[in-house]
Amino acid sequence: MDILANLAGGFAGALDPYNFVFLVSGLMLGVVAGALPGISFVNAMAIALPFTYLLPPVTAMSFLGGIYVGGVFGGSISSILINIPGTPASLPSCWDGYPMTRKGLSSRALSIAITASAFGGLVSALLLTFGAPPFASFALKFDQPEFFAATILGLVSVIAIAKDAPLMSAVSMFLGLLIGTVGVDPMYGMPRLTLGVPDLESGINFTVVMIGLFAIGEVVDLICKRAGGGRSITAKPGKQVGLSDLWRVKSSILRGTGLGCTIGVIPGAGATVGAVIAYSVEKQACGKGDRFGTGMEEGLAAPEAAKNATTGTAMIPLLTLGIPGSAATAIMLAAMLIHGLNPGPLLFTSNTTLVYTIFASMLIANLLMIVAAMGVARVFSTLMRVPPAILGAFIIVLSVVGAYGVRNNLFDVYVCLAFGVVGYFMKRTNFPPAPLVVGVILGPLCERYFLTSLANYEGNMAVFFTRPISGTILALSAIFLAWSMWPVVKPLLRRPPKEPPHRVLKA
Amino acid sequence: MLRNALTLTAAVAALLTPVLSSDPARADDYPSRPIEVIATFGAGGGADLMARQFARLAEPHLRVAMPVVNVSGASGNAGLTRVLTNPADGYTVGTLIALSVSSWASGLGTAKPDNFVYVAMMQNSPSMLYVSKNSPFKTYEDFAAHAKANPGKLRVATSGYGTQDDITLKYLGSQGVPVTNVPFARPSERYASPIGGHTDAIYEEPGDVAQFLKSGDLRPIVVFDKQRHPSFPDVPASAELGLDIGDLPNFRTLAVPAGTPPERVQKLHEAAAKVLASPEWKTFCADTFTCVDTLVTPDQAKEEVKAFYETVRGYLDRFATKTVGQTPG
Amino acid sequence: MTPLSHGLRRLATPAALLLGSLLLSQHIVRDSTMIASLPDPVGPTGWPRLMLGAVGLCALIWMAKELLALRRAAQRHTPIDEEYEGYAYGRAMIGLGLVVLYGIALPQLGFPIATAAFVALWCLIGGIRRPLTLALVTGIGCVVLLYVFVLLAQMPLNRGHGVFDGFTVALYRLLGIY
Repeated sequence: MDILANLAGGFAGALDPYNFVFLVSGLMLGVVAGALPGISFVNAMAIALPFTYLLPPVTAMSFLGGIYVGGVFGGSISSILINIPGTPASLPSCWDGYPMTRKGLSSRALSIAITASAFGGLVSALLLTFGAPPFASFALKFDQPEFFAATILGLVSVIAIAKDAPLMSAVSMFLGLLIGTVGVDPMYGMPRLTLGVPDLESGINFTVVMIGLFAIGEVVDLICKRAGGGRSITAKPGKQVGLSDLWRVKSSILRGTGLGCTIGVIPGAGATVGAVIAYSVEKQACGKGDRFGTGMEEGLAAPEAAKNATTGTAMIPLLTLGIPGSAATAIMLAAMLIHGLNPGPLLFTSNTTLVYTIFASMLIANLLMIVAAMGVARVFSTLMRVPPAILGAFIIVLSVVGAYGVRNNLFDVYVCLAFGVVGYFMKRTNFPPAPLVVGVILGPLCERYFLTSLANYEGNMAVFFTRPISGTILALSAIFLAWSMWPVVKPLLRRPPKEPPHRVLKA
Repeated sequence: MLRNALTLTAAVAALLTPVLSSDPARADDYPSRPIEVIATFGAGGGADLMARQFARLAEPHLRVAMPVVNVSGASGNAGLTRVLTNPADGYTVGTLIALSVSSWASGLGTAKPDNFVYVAMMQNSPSMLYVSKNSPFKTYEDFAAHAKANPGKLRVATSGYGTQDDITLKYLGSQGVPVTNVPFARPSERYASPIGGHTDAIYEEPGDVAQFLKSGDLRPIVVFDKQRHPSFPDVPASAELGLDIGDLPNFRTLAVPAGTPPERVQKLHEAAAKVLASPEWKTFCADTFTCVDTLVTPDQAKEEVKAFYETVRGYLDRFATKTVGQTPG
Repeated sequence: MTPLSHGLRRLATPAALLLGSLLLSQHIVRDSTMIASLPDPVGPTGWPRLMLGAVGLCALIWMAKELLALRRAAQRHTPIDEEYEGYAYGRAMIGLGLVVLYGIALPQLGFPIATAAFVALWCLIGGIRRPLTLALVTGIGCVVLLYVFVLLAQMPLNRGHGVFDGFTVALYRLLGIY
């Protein structure tokens, strides 16, 4: 029971007052940064990085780990309360979380989201503690064809989510994929679709697109709804949840957690993909899929659990192999390197205390998150009483700062504002913006994996189907697509299509 | 209402006028406000680490805050554009690394070596070829013999086509060692591929794979340099093996726009010299295998960068690599 | 609004998408001769071409669907949904214009001035008319933003050009940021 003894030491380290204070402040900072529309927790981690030089390595990692855990959740607060995802990973939380708020169940939605997230995060942190080495070798088995198959599954999920407008979702997703190809290509470094604009060579960042589409479009819509600046965001507290309510969504939480843990370990996929796949799987699996999007608790619990379940397992490739899978873990890598720590197999033997303190911090962070997130959520609910004009003005300023902060580039602000205008019109015409964002996220990954696979396997396309893991994932994607599209296709096969419902332009 | 806001602004402006008139750009009090250090690549990469270590160690010497700002994209050219468009007043310093210079040579970006003044040559290291610890190839000769017998069957993970990596592999091909270039745009995926057994070897500088070298997961088989690397005395240099490709070092410099007042460049150079001489930096560069032996002046650094630029152009012409650019960093 | 003009308007979006993807497919890279010289069958243009094709195809299906709906609507004379009344479209346009102006003003005037002006104007069009509220919200809000993002987060937000740069530096010195 070497691990338990080590873990006990880790807990002692993590609960050391100095470390603990930084863990808690990191957690709070993460939740707040995540919850602020526009500012993502990756921004917050990058901003916090210079401060961590001054801290001892263990404290630095606790601090960043706290921001990470808190930030991945925090984004859901604004998703649920104002329909603006605070971070890309909280995108699916808008779909059933915000309808709950509109029904006056915001507090209930927040409690479910927090509990599901904390559960997912905790399980994931336990996996990190007890299963890091085997999980790491699992991650190494994945080569480019497997990554490609996983992104295809993510894209298929986006279409599967679309209930009544698969065509619109497909258009939106392909537009996103197209936007994702802007910039230099991954193999030759050749600029594409830049139309002579040098700034476009670096590509269009998905966070910037998301902030524009969701935050700015939503805010502009907000000031127009009622004359005179009346309040149009409802944030009634609603009924609190009891344990029995949570018990009802237990299978959703478990499914989300399982998916999140698995996807988290794959470098590059990350929390957003985990949450999107979990939402679409849940839609098929829970039996109430046809009512998803109207405020179903299952539809909120599953992606919430999945997105935080990626946090622990995403640390596995980082700590065991020194391979960061996402922007957040890359910043953690930077913090470790600047402290002279080399993540990798040796870290476990040379810095056992440090590693287990990180593990313990992750466990504690997920538990404390329940309290921290409740507190921040309450403050944010109060903020909703601010007149929408003032709230909107600051959301736009934060969006601009957040878009700027992604790469410290003013061009990103212009891109964000342009997508804000587009987002407003998409909102007015009920054109779904979420598939576009997922397309921008997955497009570049998908292309890279595809091209590197071909380079590595002599240009043989069959490799995607003949390799066992990628073949299985692709087959699953195909089955999944067929399954979710069946209700749409079935009537088409029997008789001529009924009159398609008119898109209603409503406020 | 609006008028009030304007009045307020006017009032504040009036209050500030005396402060404004004392020009902050006077040379004698430089630096009097924070100096922005632009890391031209994302957090966690080599250029970022250098910028952060430099900023941390130089702050006490320059006595101002030195926030590090990551402006990544287009092989570092996005950040370099920022360096060039900011005022040439010494309050913006950027990292400028070999990868960006070779991207200019292959047609990406608009900058040229003469657009910058090089404050200091901070780091330098040759590239190496590594195999995983389970690889059947013990030496470069094993590797080359296998490649000769099975042309194109050996796969080497690199950062892209048209890069220093690609040039080196093309050169090996011209020397009768044909291998397949497998570009991985993401460094983390590149490192994982030989360790996971998905590729046969990887081309990289040692500092970027230091953790795998220390753990033994990766084993160097050749250094592309004129002489052996002091940290790897058992690994043969390419020159010993009859390979004439030791002129593509991975240097990292700090640069300011050309036109920055020379006395300010000098102040920055002195600070960099103190940083380079500090024990913390010595440990850092030893850990990343990137120590520079002698301090070079800004003029010498410029000559080195220019020479490198011409070398890369020569190679690109020689191997008729018509593709432009690098992978995004 | 007649069903025909309504239908034509709904055809506009997919038609624009189709046209756009056709146009863009001619301008994927600056110099297409470079692509031809590559031995790679997919190459840098393969993926964007595929995506443009997919967007074009979807737009075609979309147009077909709309045409079908148009024909049916014409046959049955079903009433077409009219736009929602009482929605302040004019205000939305002003809002969008203001957002774009903010972006343009940011590098010229610098973050502090542009933000203060934007917040004040936005609140004005949003219906906040009390001068005191307006001044307080703008003033306190901007100072807090400056402390958080410039002082704490050390973000290199634009300081503006010329005289505005001087003003911003002076303001930062006054606030103790520099």
